[in-house]
Amino acid sequence: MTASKLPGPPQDEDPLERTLEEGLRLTPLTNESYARIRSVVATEWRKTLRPPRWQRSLRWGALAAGLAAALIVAAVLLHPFANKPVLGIVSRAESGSPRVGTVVRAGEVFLAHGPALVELSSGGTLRIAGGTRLEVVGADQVTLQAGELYVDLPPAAPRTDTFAVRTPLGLVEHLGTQFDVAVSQDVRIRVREGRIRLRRGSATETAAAGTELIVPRTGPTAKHSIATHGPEWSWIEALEPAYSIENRTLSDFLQWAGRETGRRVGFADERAREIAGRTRLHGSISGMLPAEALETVFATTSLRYDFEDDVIRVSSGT
Amino acid sequence: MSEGDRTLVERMLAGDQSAFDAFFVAYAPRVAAFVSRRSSLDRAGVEDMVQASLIKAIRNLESFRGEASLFTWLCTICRHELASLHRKMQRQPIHESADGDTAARDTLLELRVPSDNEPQNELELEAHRAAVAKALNSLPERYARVLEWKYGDGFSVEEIAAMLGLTPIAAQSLLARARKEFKGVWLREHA
Repeated sequence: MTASKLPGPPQDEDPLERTLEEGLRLTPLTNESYARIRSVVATEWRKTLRPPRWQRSLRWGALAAGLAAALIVAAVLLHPFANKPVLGIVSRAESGSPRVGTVVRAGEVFLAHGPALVELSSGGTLRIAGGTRLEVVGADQVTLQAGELYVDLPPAAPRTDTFAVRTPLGLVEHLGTQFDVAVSQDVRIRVREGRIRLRRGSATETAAAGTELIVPRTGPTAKHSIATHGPEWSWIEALEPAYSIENRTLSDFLQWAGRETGRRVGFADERAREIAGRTRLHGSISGMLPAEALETVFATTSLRYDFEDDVIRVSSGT
Repeated sequence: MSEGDRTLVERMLAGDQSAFDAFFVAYAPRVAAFVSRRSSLDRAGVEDMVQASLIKAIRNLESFRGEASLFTWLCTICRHELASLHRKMQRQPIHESADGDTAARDTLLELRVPSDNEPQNELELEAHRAAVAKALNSLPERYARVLEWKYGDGFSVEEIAAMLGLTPIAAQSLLARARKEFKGVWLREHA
């Protein structure tokens, strides 16, 4: 065989070394195998983590709860922003800053040192890329000064009709949606679900799912079609909010997985739809990426799924 | 040995999800390759072995002191798991099976290339691997071992030096001699 048929190291590498690497280095497992291993090992890893100290000392639980309540009241009364509207609370922070549990209020400047997830008090979530700086204008409005954030306001979330993101180049209002806004030299808006409205001076423009708007400092806004799934969205999937599958139907889980992966759910046959509607799930997908959760959950059912472009196609195999 | 390894482990022990992700991405494929070359396990068996080894590592993460590299430590765990599997299989009653699996079990811990039913290009790759394995088997054991570590498992020269109790310069020299020896055998067979 000739070595040129194989993917290998740069051309200037010693051919002998390439011969040895090709002959000795194996890639024995598929991505699906690694996904299965990862989900099991990650579960084991989380089991080994020591719970926070306050969780370990149940006998101090009541006292701790009372003390915590008193501290919260004191903090609320003494905090300079105590009477300001609450945007939400930090529920994930990959870098540890801001801390998980931080309440984010109007008037504050939020600087994400790493990717962070904020659960909005009005329902829905903000996923914030590392290095992002935003100012909280109110409970339903932020000004994105630099960086990138992803707004997810599920249809079932309460009071989600007024959320807006201010940028240096316009105001982005959601019309029931998931969308991503990035501010650098230009402003880039990507709509994954639903629609958004961009107000720029006296002009307004709407964009539907699968659309990208590029707003330059000068000149007209450019509009493009984009995929609602794929590697460019992976940072968002890695910041998914906790989702409990316990006692939910497979159909509910599929809707969640569809929103998280930017795909619609399609049933190849009626039997698959019927089984998904009556199958109740148990266990946990905590810590898994959406694709890993799909793999893990479907391994426990008689159904199959495939990604067909922007559709998760579910079939019964009959 | 490596400050990076110790930091990574400390972050994992602190519950840092990104540290776990980095750990898995960096080491799961290397452990899988390590298992494949040291056993005749099929794909499902390799998956089970990688999973078992990583779970054991995770459960004992606090005992990682950083004297050896993280990968060396993982390989030690993996070797124990393979040996344990081998002992378990030896205790099973020997019987002839329709698929002729018994012979494979007896050579579990030998250097072998797993056989797959793959398309033509995969068969070519298998043939190449078999040829390399044959050439390695004709070398002194010490030479074959360091070449496997370097080019199969991806150990660094420093890691190999630590495993053999040598200085990095001595390990580099040993690797150079092993490569020269391999080259001679390879050219005799394939020139």
